[in-house]
Amino acid sequence: MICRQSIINKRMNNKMNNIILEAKNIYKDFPGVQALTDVSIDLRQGEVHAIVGENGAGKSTLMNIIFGLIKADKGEVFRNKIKVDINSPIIAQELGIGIVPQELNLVPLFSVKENIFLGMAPSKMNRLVVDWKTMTKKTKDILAQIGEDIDPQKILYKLTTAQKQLVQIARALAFGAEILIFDEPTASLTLKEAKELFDKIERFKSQGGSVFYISHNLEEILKISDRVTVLRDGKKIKTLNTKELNKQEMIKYMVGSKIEEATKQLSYNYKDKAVVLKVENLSRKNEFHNISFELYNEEILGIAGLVGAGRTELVRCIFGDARPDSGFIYINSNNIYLKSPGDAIRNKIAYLPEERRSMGIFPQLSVKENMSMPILNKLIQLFFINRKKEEEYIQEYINKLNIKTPNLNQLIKNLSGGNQQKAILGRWLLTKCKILLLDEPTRGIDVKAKAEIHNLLKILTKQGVSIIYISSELQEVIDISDRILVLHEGKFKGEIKSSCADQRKILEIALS
Amino acid sequence: MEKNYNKHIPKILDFKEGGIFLALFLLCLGLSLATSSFLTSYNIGILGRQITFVALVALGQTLVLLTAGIDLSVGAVAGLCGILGAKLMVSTNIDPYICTLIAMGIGICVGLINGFFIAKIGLNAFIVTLAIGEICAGINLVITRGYPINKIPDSFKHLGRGMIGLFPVPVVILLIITTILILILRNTPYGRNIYAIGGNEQASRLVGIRVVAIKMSVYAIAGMLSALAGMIFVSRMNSGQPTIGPSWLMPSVTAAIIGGTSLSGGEGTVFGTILGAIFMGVLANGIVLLDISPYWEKVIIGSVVVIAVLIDHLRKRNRL
Repeated sequence: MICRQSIINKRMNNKMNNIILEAKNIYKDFPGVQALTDVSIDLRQGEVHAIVGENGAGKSTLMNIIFGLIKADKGEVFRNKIKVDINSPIIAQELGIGIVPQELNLVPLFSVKENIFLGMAPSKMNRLVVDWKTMTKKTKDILAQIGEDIDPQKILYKLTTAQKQLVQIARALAFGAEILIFDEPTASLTLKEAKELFDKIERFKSQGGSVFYISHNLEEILKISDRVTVLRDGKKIKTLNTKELNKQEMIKYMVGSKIEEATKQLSYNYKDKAVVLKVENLSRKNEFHNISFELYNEEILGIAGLVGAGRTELVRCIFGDARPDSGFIYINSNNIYLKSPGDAIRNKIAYLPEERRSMGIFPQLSVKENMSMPILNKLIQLFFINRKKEEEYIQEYINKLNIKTPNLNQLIKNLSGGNQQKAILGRWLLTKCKILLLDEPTRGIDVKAKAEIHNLLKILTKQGVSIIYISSELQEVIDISDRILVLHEGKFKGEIKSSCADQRKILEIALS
Repeated sequence: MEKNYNKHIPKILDFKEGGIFLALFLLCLGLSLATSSFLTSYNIGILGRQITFVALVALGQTLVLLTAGIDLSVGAVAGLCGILGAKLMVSTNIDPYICTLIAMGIGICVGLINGFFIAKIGLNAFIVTLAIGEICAGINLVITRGYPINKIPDSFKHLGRGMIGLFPVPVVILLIITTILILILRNTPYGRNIYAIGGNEQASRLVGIRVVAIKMSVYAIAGMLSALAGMIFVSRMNSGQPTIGPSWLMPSVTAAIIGGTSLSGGEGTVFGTILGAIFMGVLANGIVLLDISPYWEKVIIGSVVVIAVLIDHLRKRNRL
C-alpha cells in the first residue's frame, strides 16, 4: 500500500497544469438507475473545473465517489498519477480532498474553532486533554489563509449562512485539502456573498489549490471556471475550456437539444382585471412590516428581494401557516381570517414551500401518495379511497409535468431533486387552486426542468390561476413575472413592471 | 412494494412483513420439532388467549408510533380501566358489558388527556405518557389498596373465557379490530394522514392535515384498546387484578418494532405488529414448554429484539 503522504509529496514536482486527480471509466449503478456510465474526468493543478448537468445527470454521484462517500462499481481514481482506493471520506481527506457540501455539515451549538477541528482536536498529554490554545491559534491561521476575520470563539448558529460556509471551507483546509469540491455553493448566498466566495476561491487557487465546482448557475460558471465538464444522463458529454463556451452552448450540451424558453408573452393587460388577492398593512413582528399589495387575476406577481427579506414569512401568512400581528387579507374582496393551511386550501390557495425536504415531501411515501395528499377527500367513495381514480388523476399530472419516475408507486425519495419538486407542484395543481404561492420553486433544479415549469406556469395563468413567484434569482423573477414587488428587510421598497426591469434597477430599489 | 435488487435476499422479504413472517414461521417450525406439546389445540388455545392482550395494546401503540409518538401509559390504563370496570359491575347493577364500554370510554378520556398535552400543548410524548401512566397506576392502588376485586358477575364470563365456534372470544375481537384498523390505515384519508404526520409533520400541516386532531385521536384509540384489553383480562381471571397492565407495556412496543414499525414514525403496519405480538407470545410459550428457566426469559426476549432490529436495518440498507 503506497503511503498516502508520499502521494501528496509528489506535488512538489508538479508544475502548473499537471493532472493532480483523475477518475477513469467510472460506472455506478443504483437500484433501477444507471447513475454513471463510463465517466472520466480529470483535475489540473490550479484550475477551477466546473461540472454542469441536469438534475440526475450524475454530478453529485461522481463527486461522492471521489470523496469516498460512495464506492464505484467499476473504474479507477488516480491521485498524482498513482492509483488510489478511496473507500471512505477519511481516506479522501488524507489524500488532500475536501468537500463543501450543499447542506453544511456543522454543529450549530459548537464554536467556530470546535467545528473546524471536529474530530481532530489538537491535544496535550498524549491525547488525553484537548489543547484549546493550539486550536484557537490554528483556527486563526486558517481563517487568515482564507482571508476572513471571524472570531474563533463565536457560536456557529450566530453566523450568517455565508460565514458558516467559510467555516466549512476552513474545516476542509484544516484537514490539509488541496482539492476542494463545491456543491452548489451559491444557492443560499446573496450576490455580494457569492462574489466574496469567488474571491476566496481565487485566493485558494493562488495558494496552489484546485477546485471542482458543481453548479446550475451558468453565468457564474462562465465567470469563474477554467474548464467545464457537461454530464447528461450519467454520461460525460464534453469537457471544454470555458473561454470557448457560452451559455447557449452549455445548455445545448446539457440538454441535447435547444430548449425553447417560453417567449415573453405580450405585456399583461391590467384593464378590467379583477383583484383576486389583496393584502393590507400586514405586519408580523421581526419579520415584515406594513405590507400592502394586490394580486390580479391571471397575473404572475414576482416578489424579489435579497435573502431574509421577509418574503417567505409573508406568504406563509397568506397561506394560513402563520398569523400576522396586524393587517387584513382579502380574497376576491372578502375579508378572510385564515386559521390554518386547511382554510387556505379550502379557499383555493396553494403554497409550494421553499425547502421541499423539510416542508414538502413525505420521504417514506410514494410519488402517488405524496401528490394526492390534499385531495384525498375528493377521492373517497364510502370512506375508502378510490384507488383507480387516484391513479388516474396522478398519472395525468405525471404526464403533464413530465415527471421522470418508473411508476407512480416509486418512493419519492428515489427521484431526483427536480422531479421531486415537480411532484410537489403537481400536488398543488391537483387541488385546482386559483392562487398559487411559489417560494423559490426552481432552486436546485436543472435548466430543462426549470424551463418546463416556467412554461407550465404561463399556461396555468391562461387557465385562470394567479401566481405569486418568490425567487432570489433576480433574472428569473424578471423573466417569469408580469410585475415585480421588491422587498428588503421586511419592508416594501417598490414595484416595477417586469418589462422595464433589470437586475440593477431591482437592487437599486431594494437598497434605496 | 420495492423491487429487490439483491440476489441474496429471498423474494418473500420483498413484502414489508416478510421478515417477521419468516422468523415466526421458523420459530414455530423449530418449536414443533423440539416438543410435541406445541402444536396441540390446547396449547394453541392458550397461546391465542394470551397473545390477545399484548396484541390489543400493541395495536394502539402502533398507531401512536406511526405518528412519531409513543404511549408509555398503555399498561397502566389497561390496569386502571380494568379495575374501574370491575368495581362498577360489582358495586352497581349496571350490566357488565355496559361497564366494559364505560371502561373503554375512560380509556379514551385518558388518551385524550395524553393527546391534549402532546399534540395541542406540544410536550414530549415520552414524558407525558410516562407521567400519566404513573398517575393511573397510582389511582389504581388508591382504589384497590392492592387487593383484587372479586365477585364479578357470572354473565361476564363469556368475554374472556367463551368461544365463538372454534375461536376464543378474545381472538375474534382481536381479529375484528385488526381488520378494521388495517382497512382504515390502508384505505382511508385518515390512515394516510397518520403516515403523513409520522413522515413529516410540518409538511402535513402544509397540506391541510388536521395534525392536532389526528394525533389526539390516536392516543385516544390506544387508551380505548388498552381499556378493552384490561376488561377482557378481568373476565378471564374472574376478578379485577390490580397488578396487571405494566407487564404489557414493553411487549407492546417491542411487538410493534419487530413487526417493522419505526420509532421515528411514518413506517409500519398493523399486520406486522400482529405478527410481532404472535412472535413474542410464541417465544414466551416456547420458553415454558422447553422447560427453560423463566429467569432467562428477559435475556432471550431482549436478544431477539436486538437481532430483529439489526436484521431490519441491514435489509433497509441493502435496498439502497
